[in-house]
Amino acid sequence: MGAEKTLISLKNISFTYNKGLPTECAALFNVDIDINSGEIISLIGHTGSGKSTLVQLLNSQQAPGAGEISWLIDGVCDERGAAIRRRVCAAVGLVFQYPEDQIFEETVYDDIAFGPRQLGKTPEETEKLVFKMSELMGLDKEILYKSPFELSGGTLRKVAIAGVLAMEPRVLVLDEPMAGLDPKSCDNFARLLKGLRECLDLSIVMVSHNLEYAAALSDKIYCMASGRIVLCGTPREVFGEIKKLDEYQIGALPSALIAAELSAAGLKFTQTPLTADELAAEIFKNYGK
Amino acid sequence: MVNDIILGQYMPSGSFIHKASPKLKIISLFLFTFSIFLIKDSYLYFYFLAVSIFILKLAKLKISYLLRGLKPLIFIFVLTFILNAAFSEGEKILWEWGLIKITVEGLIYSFRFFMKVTLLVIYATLLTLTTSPVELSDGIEDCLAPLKFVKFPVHEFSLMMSIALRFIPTLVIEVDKIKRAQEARGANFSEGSFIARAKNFIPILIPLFITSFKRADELAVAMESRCYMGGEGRTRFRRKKDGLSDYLIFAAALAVVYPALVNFMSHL
Repeated sequence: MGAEKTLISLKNISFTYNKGLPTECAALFNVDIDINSGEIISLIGHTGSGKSTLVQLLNSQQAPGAGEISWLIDGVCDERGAAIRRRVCAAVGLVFQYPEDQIFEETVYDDIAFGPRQLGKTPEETEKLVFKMSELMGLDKEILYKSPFELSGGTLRKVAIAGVLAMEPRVLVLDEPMAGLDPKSCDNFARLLKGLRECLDLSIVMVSHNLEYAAALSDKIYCMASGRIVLCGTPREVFGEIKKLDEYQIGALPSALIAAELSAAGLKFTQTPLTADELAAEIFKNYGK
Repeated sequence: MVNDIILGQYMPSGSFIHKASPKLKIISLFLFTFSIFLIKDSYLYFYFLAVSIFILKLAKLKISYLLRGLKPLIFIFVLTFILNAAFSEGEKILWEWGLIKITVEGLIYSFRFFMKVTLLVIYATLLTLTTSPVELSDGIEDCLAPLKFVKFPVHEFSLMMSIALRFIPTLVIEVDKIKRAQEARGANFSEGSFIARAKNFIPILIPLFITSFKRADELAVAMESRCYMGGEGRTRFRRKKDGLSDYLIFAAALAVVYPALVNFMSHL
């Protein structure tokens, strides 16, 4: 990772759905977040806490009701008006929940190439991008010429993410990337996401219900409840706050929970363990092994 | 754009219009529709316009909801008005240019047509604003019940209607979601030539079809797994008998359309 530079900064953001209608519903209150280059950030929170809304604001799909979002990314900050939105769409790649539902082309290749073609890349550039991104996502070359409807859900999801990556974003935003995948595919995905950061110098923002992966992958975790950011910090800091997490209906990381119970029973812990291995190591330390 | 589509959207306010029997509301809508087409003198259009606003007030709804329902149709209204005005025959010519002739009769005719269509949409919107989709399909089933005697599959028909109505908001949300997803991949729906824009809808339509077929299949399986066997011997969870207040409302509707009938008869 190079020197940390803020790419997207959100200041005091509030957002309300259906303003002025009887179905009005406030989704975000005074949210402050900075997204720095090369960071992996996780947003965790109970259903309806405003995570998905926040994610759409990052991509300028929605405009905030109050507050200010600045995209400090090359080529975006010097644009004005409607052009900003187009630039932001490319610079902040947004992968929706169940992205495989948005695939429509006849072959996988064409689907991944959709983004770069829309951005006006030449066929040669497009081809290079498609091959690079599909390889990064671990897709076989022969798959590229198949119809997307012959593929499994997990593979389709990789295709959809490759399609977003092909627009060469600086920030990749994923809304529950692991939803509905089997445990093995989840592990595979976690590895892929880490790999993406190294290869493409990407910042990754991820909405997740899976606390283990949030703990294993993230540099920083923001925890949301009823439209507000209620906790933020490194995984160790956030998952140490077992009582608060319970209060916000997020639940606890199993290893952190066990550690808390054991320390109440008299064992000593030097740090909040984030994995089973770390937990085991901490317990062994207590018995001098 | 998606939020503008209010035709077919239910706005609960708990008024007695909302609670009235859906069957009688549908029949009243038909009464109003026929009357609007029977009217011979133009002043009665304003009478029906006033009545619709009165009903809206009784239903404790804002005029802005009604206007929002009309907004997407303004283009069609204006276009039919212009076409009618430009191409109708008439004696008293106001302005002429080649084939286009604007006459007094033409203007009156297009005004009447314009008012008819607008009033139709207004009353239909009033029905959907005050009746939830479920009640609406129950009402349709009740209205069609006599057709059972000629072996018309009334229950299946109303089930189809209610499923179709039920999935309109779902499809609207789905389109919105897919549109956002494709925009996030660089699709541009607001620029370019007409053909380019039409082509841009392919990335929305294909995923929409696929998810719709999937959803229909899942719905069928879910219904069968709960032993759905069609209308035969099926009872209803909500059973609403029409009461005195329903008949009073219906009588009021009859009273309202009376002047239109009188007007029609006097011109026979």
